Amino acid sequence: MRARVQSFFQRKSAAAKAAGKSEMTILRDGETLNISDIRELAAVNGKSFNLQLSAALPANVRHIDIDLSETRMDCGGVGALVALRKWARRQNRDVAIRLLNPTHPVRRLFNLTRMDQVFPIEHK
Amino acid sequence: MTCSSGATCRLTLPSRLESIRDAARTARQFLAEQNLPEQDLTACELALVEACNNAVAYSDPHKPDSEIQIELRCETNAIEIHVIDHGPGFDWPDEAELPDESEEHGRRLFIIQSLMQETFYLRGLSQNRLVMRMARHSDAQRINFPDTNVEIPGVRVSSPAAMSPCEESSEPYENAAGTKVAAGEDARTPADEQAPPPQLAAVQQKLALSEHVIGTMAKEICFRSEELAAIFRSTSELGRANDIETFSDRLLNDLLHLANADWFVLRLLPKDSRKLILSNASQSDLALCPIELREDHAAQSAEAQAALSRGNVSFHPQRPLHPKDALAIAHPGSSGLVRPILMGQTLLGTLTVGRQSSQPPFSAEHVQVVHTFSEFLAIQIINIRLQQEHLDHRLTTRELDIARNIQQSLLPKSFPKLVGYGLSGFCRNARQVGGDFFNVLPLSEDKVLLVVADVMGKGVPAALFAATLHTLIRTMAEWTHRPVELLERVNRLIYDELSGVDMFITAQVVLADTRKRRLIVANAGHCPLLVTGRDHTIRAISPEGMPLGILPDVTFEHAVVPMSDCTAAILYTDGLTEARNAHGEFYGQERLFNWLKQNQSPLQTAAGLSEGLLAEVKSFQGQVSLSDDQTFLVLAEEIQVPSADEQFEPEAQSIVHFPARAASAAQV
Repeated sequence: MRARVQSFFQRKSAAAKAAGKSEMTILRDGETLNISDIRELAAVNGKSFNLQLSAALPANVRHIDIDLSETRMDCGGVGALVALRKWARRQNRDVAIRLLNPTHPVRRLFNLTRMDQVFPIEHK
Repeated sequence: MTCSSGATCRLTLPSRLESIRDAARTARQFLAEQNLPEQDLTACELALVEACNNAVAYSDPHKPDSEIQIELRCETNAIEIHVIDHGPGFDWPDEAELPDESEEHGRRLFIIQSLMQETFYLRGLSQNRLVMRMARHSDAQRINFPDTNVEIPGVRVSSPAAMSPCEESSEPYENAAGTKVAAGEDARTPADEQAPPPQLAAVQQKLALSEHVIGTMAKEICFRSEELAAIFRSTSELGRANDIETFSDRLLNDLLHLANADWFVLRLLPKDSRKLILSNASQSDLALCPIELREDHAAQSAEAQAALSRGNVSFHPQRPLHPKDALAIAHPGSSGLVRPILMGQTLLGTLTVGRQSSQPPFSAEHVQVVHTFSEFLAIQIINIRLQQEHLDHRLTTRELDIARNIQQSLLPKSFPKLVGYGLSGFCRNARQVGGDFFNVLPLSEDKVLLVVADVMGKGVPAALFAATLHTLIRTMAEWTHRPVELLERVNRLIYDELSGVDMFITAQVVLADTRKRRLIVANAGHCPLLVTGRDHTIRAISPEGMPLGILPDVTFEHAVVPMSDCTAAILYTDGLTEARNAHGEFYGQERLFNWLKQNQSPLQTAAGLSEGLLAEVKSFQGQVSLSDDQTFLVLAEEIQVPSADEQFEPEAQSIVHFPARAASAAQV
């Protein structure tokens, strides 16, 4: 079992709401950044999602794994992921973003927008 | 947010992104109660969320308290979702496309159209309504809901086309529990007990509603009739106005009045240009530089942005123009709208309409009238351009007719006398004017210079060089009669002009000397001279020589043919041998040789040969139109001395023959 070496950013929903930020958990595991507990990724919070992640992204991260198992999404959320991918690649050309365990509606959204050909999607 | 449950659900929410999630959740719950399968629930929820996101994105920034209404209707075999907003609206595409994968925005309408089977966007004066319909997936999941529904009688909507802009006036009211429900539903509270009896209240509501409907309709009819009157006025102006500036002046001043605007700027994009040019402006002394349509200009110019995006660009004090934008400099602090003028996807220009800073920005109905006028303007711009093109075409045709007459006048009107020989020529252009010509220059009573030339290409450029060469050869013939020297001098004189435009000329010059009984032939890359011998042979005489205009200094070879050996000589251009038939085959030199063999005779005159050859080539070509100019010149031995009174009538398709046909016929 891999040990999580560092947890440098963890905000729970109440705190995030108070700060007007997206609710999610960000954990660092070596060169991988794990993002989970995302309740919503949509037009309403896409910008703050990216702001939080860009602030939390260390220079030597090579993988960003985003767990979408509890996430509701719309096109605004798709746009936020596209923006994140562009931003991350400007920081580090080799960075890879994976989407994990998306729900059926989210999977359908990615199929419709053909974003499933842009982002690798895995079920763990 | 308000909700009425049952077969129809109505929701009202503030026009803010934060409200959409809760509304979508309620809508999903309502649809789930109607036994919709999970697949349909997901589709409806996502389409609704995207429609609401869109309504918020296009909401009026000056009305922060505006609301969005949602209606969900479960019919027996379909779900219908209406999203009503009160913003200025936008143009709904027939078929939305996905943007590039690197784009962060622009997927909403594609998603909605992908998920729903039918979508309509109704843009009204005070509201816009997006209607989305989807068939229910399973018959087993249909439900029979009661006829009594919670909507107010008289405003029940059965199809999108029947919807009135006022049907939303059934304002919801708040019940004791704090939940808003649609009016007409049974949600009476103690506070209602002093209200009028239900029947009376229903009548009052109905009356108020009717009054509101009539008021809105009257307002809309007045507005539209003014709009139509302005368009009719401009239509009557169109017949008199020959230019866009005059026409647009009237139309756009009407638009200022209707849209309650203060100024306009009309820019047009000339054909095959990438620059928007100022065409007309309400401020007559306004001087605006052309705008080049480049992506990097879009940030600084709202007009360039609208032109490149093919979409409206609005500006107001909260979203001002770029300080360097020419519109901002001309009308500082204004609010307004830049509308691209389009015919299909073809950009014709931009129309900007603005208000001074002291006035509120445009409302939805004013934006709509700008749209209507810009569409009308687009039609008239195309009409005026077509009129102009037609006029230009007529002028060009007339000029080409004149050019053709001039070119025909350069051909010899009659041939000089040449004892014992007859001459005949033919020249036909593929277009009105061409690059082929022939000439016969008399040098003395027993010497003539025969010239045939072919300028590369066709049409006006070739004709200009043909005319120049014609003059040069006539001038040079005053200095020398030797074909080789004549071609060398002409080449030196015309080289600069020809090489400057990458053109060249092939030519053949033959000196016919009946006293010395010889032909001296020089050739500048031209087809060979064909000579028919008394022994029934055909010879092709082609001394070395480069076309004119290839090199500045060239030397030419010459060949001498004794006239005693031949009965006829034919000079021609490749348009003759390269004539095609319906199967695409060339006439070719072989067919020409065979024809000459079969038709040569000591009794054959030049005119007879010409007419026969022309008939032969025409018969080969059939109905196929000419692809290249055709020219030939025939010198043939004739026993009888002709009378030279006949004059040549210049026509595009004429045989110039000498002696006269009557004399030829007498010989035969």
